[in-house]
Amino acid sequence: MNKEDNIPDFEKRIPNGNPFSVPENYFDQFALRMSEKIADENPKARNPIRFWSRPIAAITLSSLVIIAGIFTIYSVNQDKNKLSSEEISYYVLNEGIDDLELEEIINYSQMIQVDTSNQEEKTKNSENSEQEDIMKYLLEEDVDLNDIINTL
Amino acid sequence: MEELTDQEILEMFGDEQRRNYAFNLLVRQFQQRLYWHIRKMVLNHDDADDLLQNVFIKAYHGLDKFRGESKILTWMYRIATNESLTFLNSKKKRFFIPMVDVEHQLSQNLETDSYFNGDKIQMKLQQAILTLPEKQRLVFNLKYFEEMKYEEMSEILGTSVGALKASYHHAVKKIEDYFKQI
Repeated sequence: MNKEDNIPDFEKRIPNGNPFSVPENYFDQFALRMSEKIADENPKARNPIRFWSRPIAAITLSSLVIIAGIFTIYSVNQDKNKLSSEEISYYVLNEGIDDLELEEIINYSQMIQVDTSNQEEKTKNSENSEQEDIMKYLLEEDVDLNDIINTL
Repeated sequence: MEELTDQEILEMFGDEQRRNYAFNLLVRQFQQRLYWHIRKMVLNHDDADDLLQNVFIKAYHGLDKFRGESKILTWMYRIATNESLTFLNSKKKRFFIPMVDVEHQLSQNLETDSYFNGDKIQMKLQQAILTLPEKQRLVFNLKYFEEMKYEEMSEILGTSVGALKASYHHAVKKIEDYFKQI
């Protein structure tokens, strides 16, 4: 007890010594346990930067980016090159093209379709064969465009 | 074991190669004082062990930002005090029971605790201390058992020296009254 405080009466009745105890070797083992705990808290894998610097992780990420890029470019090109039957009809009817231009359009359309994948081509061909048939008919039968316009 | 100064601990801790070694020395240097401080509040060894681990983990993560405005031990005492009070409050909230009943529960557990070897009088002293409000209990434990100076206590608890002296005086009076009843 500090000398500046009066000794409490109850203290005279309290025996000396600490009534609390700890398991044997507790403090020696506590320090070791703490060292292990800290080591567990700092696993290297948790560092996100270090994770992505691993070769496998880097290759995986790069592959995903490349695949996503290819898919995006492919999708955009597909939309760009596609000539729908509505677009052809509109162009034929509204732009006042002559037969020569019409043939060029058909050739262009066929050329683009050939460039696409086989699977896409098969799909497209089934759709466009009908278009081709229409265009062929227009050319072969020498159909007057004005007749078509008047019919519509 | 040779004790390191705060400066030496911080310097070693700042070096990544020697950080774990510095932390090990820190644990060995302060573990007992902090353990007994916590144990006197929560009474149970297993609870004290859990809380002591929390204190050192927080110290490990916080030592980088330690500004040296107090001693490292004072800073860690503060962490230990907060951990103990938070633990006792969480017991109260978890079971929706008032603090008085928490203290009663602690007192009952002490009677069957294999790591309490005190006689009847020492048991009575612990029960008397449990009747004190938490902060007063802290002041009494730090003063009576650890013989801590009021100035250091003031840094830990954030209370003025005068208020601490008054708190200790009242704590002693209450305990004396408790002993008069038995």
